[in-house]
Amino acid sequence: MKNIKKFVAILLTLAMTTVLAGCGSSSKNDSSAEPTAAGTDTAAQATTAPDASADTSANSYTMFMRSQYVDWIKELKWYDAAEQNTGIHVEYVAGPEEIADTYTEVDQRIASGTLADAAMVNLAQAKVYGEQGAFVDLAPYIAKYAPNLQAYINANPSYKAYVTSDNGAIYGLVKETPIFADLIGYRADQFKEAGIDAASVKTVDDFTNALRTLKAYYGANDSNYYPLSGRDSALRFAAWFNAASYVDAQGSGGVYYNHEKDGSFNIKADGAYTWVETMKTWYDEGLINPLWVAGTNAEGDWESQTLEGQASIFYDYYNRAEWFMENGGPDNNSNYDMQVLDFLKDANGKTIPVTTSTLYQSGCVTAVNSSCDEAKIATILKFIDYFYSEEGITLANWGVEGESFQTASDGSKSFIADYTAEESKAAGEKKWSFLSDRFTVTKPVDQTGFYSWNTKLISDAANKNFVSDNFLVRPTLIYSTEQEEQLTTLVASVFEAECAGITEFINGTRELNQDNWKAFIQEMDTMGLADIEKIQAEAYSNTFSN
Amino acid sequence: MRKKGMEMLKNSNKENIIPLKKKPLNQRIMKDLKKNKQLYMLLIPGIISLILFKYGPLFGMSIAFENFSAFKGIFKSDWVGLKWFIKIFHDAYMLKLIKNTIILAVLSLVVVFPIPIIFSLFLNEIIHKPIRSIVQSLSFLPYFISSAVMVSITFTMLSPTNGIVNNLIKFLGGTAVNFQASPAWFRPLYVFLQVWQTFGYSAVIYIAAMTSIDPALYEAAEVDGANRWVKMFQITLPSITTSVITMLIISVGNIFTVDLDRILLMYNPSVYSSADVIQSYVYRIAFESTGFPNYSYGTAVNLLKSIVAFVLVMLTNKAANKYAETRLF
Amino acid sequence: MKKTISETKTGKKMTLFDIINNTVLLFVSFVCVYPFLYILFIACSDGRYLTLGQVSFFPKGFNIESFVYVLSNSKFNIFTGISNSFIYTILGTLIAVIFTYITAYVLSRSRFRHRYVIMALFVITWVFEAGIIPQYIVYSKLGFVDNLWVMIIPGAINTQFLLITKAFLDGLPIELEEASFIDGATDFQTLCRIYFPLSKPIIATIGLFNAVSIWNQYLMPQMFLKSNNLKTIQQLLKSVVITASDSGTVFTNITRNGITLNQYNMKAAAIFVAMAPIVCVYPFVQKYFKKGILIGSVKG
Repeated sequence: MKNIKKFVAILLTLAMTTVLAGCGSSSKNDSSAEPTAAGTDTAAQATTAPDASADTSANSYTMFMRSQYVDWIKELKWYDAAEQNTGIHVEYVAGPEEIADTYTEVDQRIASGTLADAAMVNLAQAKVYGEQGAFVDLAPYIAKYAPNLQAYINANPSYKAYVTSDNGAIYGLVKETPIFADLIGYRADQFKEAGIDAASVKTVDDFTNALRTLKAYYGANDSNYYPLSGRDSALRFAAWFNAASYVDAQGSGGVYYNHEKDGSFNIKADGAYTWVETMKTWYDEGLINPLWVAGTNAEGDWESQTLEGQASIFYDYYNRAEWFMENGGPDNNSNYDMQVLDFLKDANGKTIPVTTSTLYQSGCVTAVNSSCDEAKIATILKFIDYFYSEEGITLANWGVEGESFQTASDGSKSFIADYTAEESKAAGEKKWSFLSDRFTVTKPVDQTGFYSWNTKLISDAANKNFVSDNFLVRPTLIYSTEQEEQLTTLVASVFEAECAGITEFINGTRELNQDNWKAFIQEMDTMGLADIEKIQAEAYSNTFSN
Repeated sequence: MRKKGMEMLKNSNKENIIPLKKKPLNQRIMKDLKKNKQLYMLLIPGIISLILFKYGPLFGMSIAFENFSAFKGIFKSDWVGLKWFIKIFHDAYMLKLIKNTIILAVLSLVVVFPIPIIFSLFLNEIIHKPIRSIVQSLSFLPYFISSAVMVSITFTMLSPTNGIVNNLIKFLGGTAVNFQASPAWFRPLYVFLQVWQTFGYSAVIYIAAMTSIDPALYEAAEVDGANRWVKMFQITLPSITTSVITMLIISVGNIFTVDLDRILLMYNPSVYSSADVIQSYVYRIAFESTGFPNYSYGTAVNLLKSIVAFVLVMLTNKAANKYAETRLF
Repeated sequence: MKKTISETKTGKKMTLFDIINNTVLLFVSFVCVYPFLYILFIACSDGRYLTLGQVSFFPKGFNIESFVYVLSNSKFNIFTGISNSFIYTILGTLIAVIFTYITAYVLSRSRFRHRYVIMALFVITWVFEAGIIPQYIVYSKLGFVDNLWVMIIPGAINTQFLLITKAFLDGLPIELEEASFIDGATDFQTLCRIYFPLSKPIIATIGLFNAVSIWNQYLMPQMFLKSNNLKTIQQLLKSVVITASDSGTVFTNITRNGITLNQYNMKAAAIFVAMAPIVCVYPFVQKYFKKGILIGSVKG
């Protein structure tokens, strides 16, 4: 009897939850594996376009993007203005939270034929799937419907080479990335207290001496004080010794692939030995946090060290100085003053060029589903084309004249919208925001606008230091599929080995002398460093011979 | 009794017995179906699940022999045969990593496997019901905590600047050790975290098995004057043998399953020599590639891993059958 | 009337072994509960102290703002997530337990001649995994995309749990079945009346394991559940974590009632909310692990 009761109870629970589940779900059973006309299936029909122009049958399209980007787009005032000005509305299909997952989901949607009209893909996906027929060859349509974009392509042959496949087709459009470098942040108040004149810190030797002064002053009382600290990898000063990885017409040195900006070093450069020697000096004298050198200093550790005064200098993301001012520095210590040090100079007073990101990157590429008809393709291209027009460039990088920016008599622009006020608005609130490193639409970047959209501290430092003379040349290379494959495999083993080896030299596990260093280079070549350099050089000549 | 009758029949006058022919196959099948009709019916959901959800996707293993493209699909992607497997064996670094991978796998199995058993044996000895409930409930908790949190806690406690462990070491007069950056400590820490996170979860099975032991056995043993150790080793332990063997086979099958999150979180250039394993290397290749995602390569590596694991599982099963008369399949 | 074990042991004094054993095990259980408390403390601390790394054993600046924020922010849809997770877990566990149990029952009957072959087939599928893309293709062809049943049906029979259940059933004395047949019962009746009541511990075990597995799943819902009203709590809380730790901007912190909410305490609150419901299940399951289930069932 008891068993039957239990059984009935279970059945009832089952029934109840099934009913609940049935009420709660809105299951859209997608059982087709054929590439459907994805646009018509998944598009929500709500458009806000006031007038449907006679040329395009629909003035909206769907686009699959990372959900974070979709959220940000919905907050942008300039984006609303753009949709209004063009009369085109984009219905975004939110994907996963992480970028890598977004690309994986693109693969899944392609496999099941449920991709939207347009999608955020990476360049390799665009080219490979494009050649197989999943994406539209945009080249003829750009000529027809997107004059501004066509002009841009004509004016930028490197861009054309980057997005064009071997068969001459363009399967995906790449956006411009803001070019910026890391900046040195320092505790101005601590410098003053320890008697260091920040303006006098010009060369790398000056830098080291400043560290020594700080260590002597503050390190006496606190054994956990190390003037220079950071997060994750400490191998970031190679450019100061002319030892950054590179590719040019003469050849290649170091791992450049995926390491154009961060983790860029070339152990075969003349200055490489000096670089490691200097870092070893820092390590031995306690000037650099040993946990950072070991690779065990996480972001949180670095932040708390810097906020609590256990570290005074860092070399990191360009707006970090502001971050520390806004996130607790002055709360702890009313004198807390984080400033930015200008780029270091060599013995002749010339600024040492540093590494930056490349103008074109392989992520956040816009590709158009081949199931779209010509009218839809035209709509998509028209929308993107707007951002390549003067009006669109200004709108996306500066906003609306009189509302978010103003023009001075000499033609230079400046923001009247307050960066701090706008960026600290709650999530979901409409705001002015011009963080062009985020993907919103495929568009060119006004670099000055990007630097200026910061607090005064950062925008001054950026506008002063981020000039092309101070940047190392970072060409955007085009790799063939085979080169891509080989490089990925080689880099996955060689780069880690390099980092581990250099770390051993710095922390003394392996004695640093010329013989050992040469042996280390030999080991790395055997592992594949020489092959990597060869492939990179080949890619360079392929890219720039056309 | 039936056996005896058969023997009698055998030994009796052989010439008078006409050996029965085996009934034709379909008749035997019909008889089997009829006799075990209900069993077959009960098995239907299992078979459906097996075919649809388990073997269905398994045909995707052919990706390992193709140049897979999601657009072309499994059946239309180009066939490349053993290309990826050859690539694996030509990858010198991959072969270097085999040592690290095997050491980690074996260490995990050898250390992690016995602990839940020992734990449940001693848990069984607790007389006070409330204490036993508390310990059992709480031991289960770490399973819910993600690797990220566990690693973060561990590193906080091991921090050379202000972690408890190093504070203790310094108090006792030693110098602080950066455990996180030591290649020698990587494996012990990894295994420790594995134990911490899973022993309570695994112990549930042994605890469940122990509840089926007839208390009369214990009482009889006590009458014979056995102490608790005798009871533990002569009664409790043998009674959970089937569970132990099952869990052993399962653990062997999972031998190459590493907690990738944990490895990635614990990894830094200082522990490179012992921390890099095949799984993290393949992940790095896939993740750091800006090129076309190479599902085929990953599938090929997985296929090799699975073959080795399967062979080990079969061997363990055979050994269990031979030495403990328990077999799973 | 047989006395239960605890009664016969009443009055025995605690030996040295008992004291040591209890102490050690209690210490072990404290070590196990610590991470749980750690997350709770971080979630209840003021963000400022967390950035400074000052929180280790106790919350600093105790508050529950992070919980209020995570639970009430309409962007995160927490209650939808919790109710979805509950529905999938309850339904999924029921179906999984029933199907796993009956399959294991059949595979443990010694007269079922195909049992080793079928079990081997299951084991093969467990050791060999084809990866996410083939799984996605097959499941989407079967209509599971954006369908809540994807959390319940495909994963119903987990090979490892099947092995465990079968092992348990193998361990029950064969005399039970024989006695039942002598009484004229069919297989169904034997299963329901004899084996099922005796299987409480294993049913509790695989019920618990399945529930935990479904509740904690991230990959499956991430691939298949796209509509917001179908999402599980693990999916929705990931968006809290991602939103909170955007390191590109300077202004990721939120201040509520004077308390700073930053990536640390928001993440911790999200993790805690995602864990708490399922953690509460275990103590209730414990009562099925009582000793002496087989008393009196088999004589001789």
